Amino acid sequence: MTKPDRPTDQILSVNRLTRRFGGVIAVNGVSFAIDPGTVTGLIGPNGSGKSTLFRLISGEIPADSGEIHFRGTAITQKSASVINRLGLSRTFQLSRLYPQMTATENLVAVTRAPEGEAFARARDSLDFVGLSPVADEFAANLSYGQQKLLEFARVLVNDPDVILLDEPFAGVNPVMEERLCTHIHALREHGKTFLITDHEIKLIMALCSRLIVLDHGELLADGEPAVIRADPRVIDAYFGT
Amino acid sequence: MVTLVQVVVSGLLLGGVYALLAGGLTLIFGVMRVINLAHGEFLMLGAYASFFLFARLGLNPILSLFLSMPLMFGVGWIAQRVLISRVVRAPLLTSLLLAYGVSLALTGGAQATFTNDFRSVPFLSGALNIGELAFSVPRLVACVTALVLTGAAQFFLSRTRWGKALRATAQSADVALACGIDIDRARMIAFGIATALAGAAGTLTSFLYTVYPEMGKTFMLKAFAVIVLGGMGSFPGAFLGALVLGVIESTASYVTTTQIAEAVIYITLLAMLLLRPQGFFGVKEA
Amino acid sequence: MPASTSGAPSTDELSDEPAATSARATGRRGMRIYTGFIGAVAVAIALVPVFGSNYTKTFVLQALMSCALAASWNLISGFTGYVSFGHSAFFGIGAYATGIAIVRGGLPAPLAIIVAGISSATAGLLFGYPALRLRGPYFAVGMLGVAEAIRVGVTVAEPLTGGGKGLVLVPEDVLTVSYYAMFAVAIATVLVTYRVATLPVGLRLLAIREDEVAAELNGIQTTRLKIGAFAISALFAGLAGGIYAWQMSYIDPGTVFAGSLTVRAIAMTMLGGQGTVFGPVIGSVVLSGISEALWARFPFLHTALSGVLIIAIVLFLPGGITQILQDRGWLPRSRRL
Repeated sequence: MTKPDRPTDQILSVNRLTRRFGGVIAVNGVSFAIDPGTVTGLIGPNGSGKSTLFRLISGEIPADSGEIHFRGTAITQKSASVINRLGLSRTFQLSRLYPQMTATENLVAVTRAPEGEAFARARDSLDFVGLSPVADEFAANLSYGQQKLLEFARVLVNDPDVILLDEPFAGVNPVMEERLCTHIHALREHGKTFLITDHEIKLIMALCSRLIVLDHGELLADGEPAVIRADPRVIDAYFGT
Repeated sequence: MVTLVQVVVSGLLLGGVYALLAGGLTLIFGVMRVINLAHGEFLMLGAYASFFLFARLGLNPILSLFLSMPLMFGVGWIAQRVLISRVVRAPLLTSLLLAYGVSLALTGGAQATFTNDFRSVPFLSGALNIGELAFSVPRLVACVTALVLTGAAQFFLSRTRWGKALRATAQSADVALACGIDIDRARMIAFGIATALAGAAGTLTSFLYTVYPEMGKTFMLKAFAVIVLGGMGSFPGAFLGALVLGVIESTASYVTTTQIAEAVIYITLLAMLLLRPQGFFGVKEA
Repeated sequence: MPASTSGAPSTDELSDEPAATSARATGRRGMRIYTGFIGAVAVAIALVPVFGSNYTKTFVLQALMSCALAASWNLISGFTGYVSFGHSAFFGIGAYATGIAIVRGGLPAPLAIIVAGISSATAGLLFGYPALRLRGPYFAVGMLGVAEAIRVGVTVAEPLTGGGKGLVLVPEDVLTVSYYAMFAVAIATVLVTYRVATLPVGLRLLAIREDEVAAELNGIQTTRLKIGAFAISALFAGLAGGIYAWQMSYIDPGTVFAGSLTVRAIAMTMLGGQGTVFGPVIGSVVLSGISEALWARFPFLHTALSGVLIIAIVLFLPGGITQILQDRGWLPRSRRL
């Protein structure tokens, strides 16, 4: 298991993070640290705490105990809005786009570019993901795949350093999967850091250079895909009794 | 000392009637997650029903409840069926504005039909003396009736089959549906009961205060204050919140003028909203 | 290249391009007619004092006041979705600020009206900061409580405000001047709405209405935006109140804090289309006209009809008249409207 010995080198680090919901411990003392410019996968069976971990890191819900550091700064108690502005952004499993606003408007509403550039920046982002043809369609009217792409564009519009992708491949066809992976690789080349969670294990293993495995809220394993794949504890967690 | 007890008891008696009104409001919120802004207007309709049954038929308000409550139940049932059901799954904003529209329509309808003249029901007067304390007879009768009705409603909710169905729907409509509960019918029953209780509260206020088309607004705010105090969706919470509010109002009225007492209530409401919006018994939504 | 492979009817033989273009052309023409109509109305309003009777002037003045109230309500409630049932509070604060400034402070009217604006905007900031933390219904009813509490407060503070008896200002015949002042306020409110709507900040406000939590998570500073919108909304409502006080020369708590003011603002905005620029304008023109026509015949049906109107709009046409026009393609789907 990787110990975060120099937190400031690693762009995102989580230290003994815990969160309870009533009697259930969703995340229990999880610790790990991520290097910049990497694509890390977060996997585990259902109910292992992956979503909760995402919500904790992005500031949507507060932690009961533990710490989160982003670029050396403690962000544990900060609000979601502040964390996003610091450069850490996140997509949602069930896309939370603004339904009665067009694709372009969904991006303009979020962009922090100066007024004059806002619309141009939005159009560029749409271009990047190939959504220009539907720029003026209401988000609610877009197809599932298009919504996923728009969500992806939205998370990038302010040039964040760390991007949390929550099940980006859920219900997505192979062509789209390919596109998303290409985009992720391209962005990684530009120095962006990704933390991705998904149930498509094969895809995640191919995409990520490192996997963190959660089970029942605890860190089970942490390492390269090849190692994880062979780890008996991981296999047990997924298929065990 | 005697005066203090007097004031507190007077407040508790008042609280009984508020509990009746607020109980219905919190029931609707619990089962349907709708804030029924027209609830005060149902009270107003109940008050007019009491007035007309008294004026035309000489029926005393307590007896007239046997007529007006089923009637109000029916009104509530229809209201849910025709209007409220359309916005149960809609964003809160929609249901809020719809209820607002209904309250306006009812107030305006009352103004047009009954005119703005004040009415009252001269039923009961005087005071009951127990030792050194004097209790207003109308308030006493109103409170006792309110308690009986609230108790009956609570019994219904906790002991009967449909009562449990209502509570199940309040907890989770989807799960209730999956368990075979007819949630549409549950909602109509809930709204019917709540409206009947509001109408009953109106009947009781008809011989305590004056009756006029816009009377609903003040009572609505008080009922809202009660459920904020007691916690949204909690029937016992509404009861306790009502008692607390009654005492606050009574004390404030005694210490200052009635008008300032009203302002005190609004300030209490605002303070609660800011400091502890989930009330004393409500659950804080994460 | 869409080729008609099946035996489709003739309309399908047209490729997508011309159909879309003609739809856009209809929309653009519709927009020209729409804005032309509004412009004509504005010119007509500007000319009323020159050609119209006092009765007409008073009527239009009232309509302008309603327009300002509706447009200012729209800024907060239409855009952010934080529905306030206590909008009249700021109108009343403005009215009393002007009244007190003139009567107790001896200020000249123009200055007194500026005081009205400052007072109500400050009140907006003061109340907005705590109130806007409340979710939907709590905020709505909470603001109702605020309006009522302020009304009672004003009634009680007799030495300052004249209490329930009201406050008498120096009666002057300022119908024409106040008319143009109210016109200016109405125009200013609509202009500000236009600027807000077409800039990214307007979209940020709409994002709050669509999904506030998501907006927060996207880094939008929702608190700051809400309070800002609220304060500006209060500002214009207060200015309208100040001008009203000046023109009427008499105000009392029951009138300037009346729930009916809020009702009108809400009904007009919803009728025209909430969250749009000209929705409140269209709504106030239409409703003022209708109620004037109905007033003589059915004085008591005002409230009832407003209620029925709101019910109908909520159930069948949440986007108001603007939505009808856009759905039929007569108006483009543009935020400029």
